[in-house]
Amino acid sequence: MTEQTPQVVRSYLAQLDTSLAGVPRDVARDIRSGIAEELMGLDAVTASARIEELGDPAFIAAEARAAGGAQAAPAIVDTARPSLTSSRGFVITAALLIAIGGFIVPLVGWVVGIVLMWMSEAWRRWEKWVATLAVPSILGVSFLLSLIFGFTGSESADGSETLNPLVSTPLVSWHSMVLVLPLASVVIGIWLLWRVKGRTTA
Amino acid sequence: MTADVGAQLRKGVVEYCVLGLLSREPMYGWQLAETLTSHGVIASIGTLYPVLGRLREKGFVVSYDEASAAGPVRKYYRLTPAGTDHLDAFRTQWTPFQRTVRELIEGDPAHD
Repeated sequence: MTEQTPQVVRSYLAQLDTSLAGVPRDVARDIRSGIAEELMGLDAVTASARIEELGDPAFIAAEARAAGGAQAAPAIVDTARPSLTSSRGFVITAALLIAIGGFIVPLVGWVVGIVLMWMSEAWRRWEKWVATLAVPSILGVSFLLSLIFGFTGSESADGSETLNPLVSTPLVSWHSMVLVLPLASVVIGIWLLWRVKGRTTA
Repeated sequence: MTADVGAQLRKGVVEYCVLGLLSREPMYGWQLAETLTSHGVIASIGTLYPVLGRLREKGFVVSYDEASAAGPVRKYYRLTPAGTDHLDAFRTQWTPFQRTVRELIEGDPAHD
C-alpha cells in the first residue's frame, strides 16, 4: 500500500483484516491479496464503486468461514462393515465350544471356545472375563476346599487319622468336579448366548 | 427451506463451475468472483477463495502471478491436467444426472 492509496481503500482493507480473524490463514491471505490487488491503483471514486460491489467485510469473512466450515465437516459415511467375529455363526460356534467343546476334545475344545469368544466383539469385556474365569474359579475353589477340609479328620486312639465324614475328601471332590465342571461349562455357554442376544450381525 | 435447497445445490456445484470457467481461460480472483456472483452461484468473494484453496490442494488448479499491462500484478488461476480430467468426469455425469432428476421431479408426464 502506498501513500497514494485512497483512504477509502485503506480503511476497507483494515476492516477486512479485522473481520478475517478466525478465517483459516491461507484463505484469509488469499482473500486479502485478491481484494487488495483489485483495489490497488484505482482512484478513490472507482475504488469506492468496487468496494460497493465487494460488500461488507464482515459478510465476506462470514462467507469464508461458512465455506471453510462446510468443508471441515465432511459428510459422515458409515463405512463400517459387519464384522465376521460378530456374526451369528461365529458367536454360536464360540458359545457351543465353551459349553460342550470340552466333551469333544477335552480341555482343548473349551480353550478354543474361549479364544473365539475373546476374538468376538459381540460380548462385553466383563462378560468375557466371567465366562473365562467361571470354570477355573470353580476348579480352584474346589481344590482349595478339598485341601483345607479334606484332612480335617480326628486322630484315633491308635494314632491313625480318621477322615471327617461330613466334608469331602480330595478324591470325592475330584469326582464331583467331573459332574460340576461340564455342567458349569454348559451353563456359561447358555449364559453367553443369552447375553449376546440381539447383538449379532447376520 | 427453499433457501436451504438453493444453498445446498450451489454448494454441490460451485467447484465445477470454477473449473468450467477456468477451462475457458485463466482467470484472477476478482474475475471469477464477479462472474460467479452475477450468476448467483456464490454470494460473495468470501466464498470463492475457500473453494479455490480446496481445488489447489486437490491439484485441480494452480496459481501464478502475472503483471497486467496497466494494472497491478494479479494472481491468476488455471486448470491442471488433473483438473481438466475432473471436469470432464463431472460433465459426463452431469447431463444424464440432471435429466434423471428432472424426470423424477416433474411429476405426472401426462400433464406436460
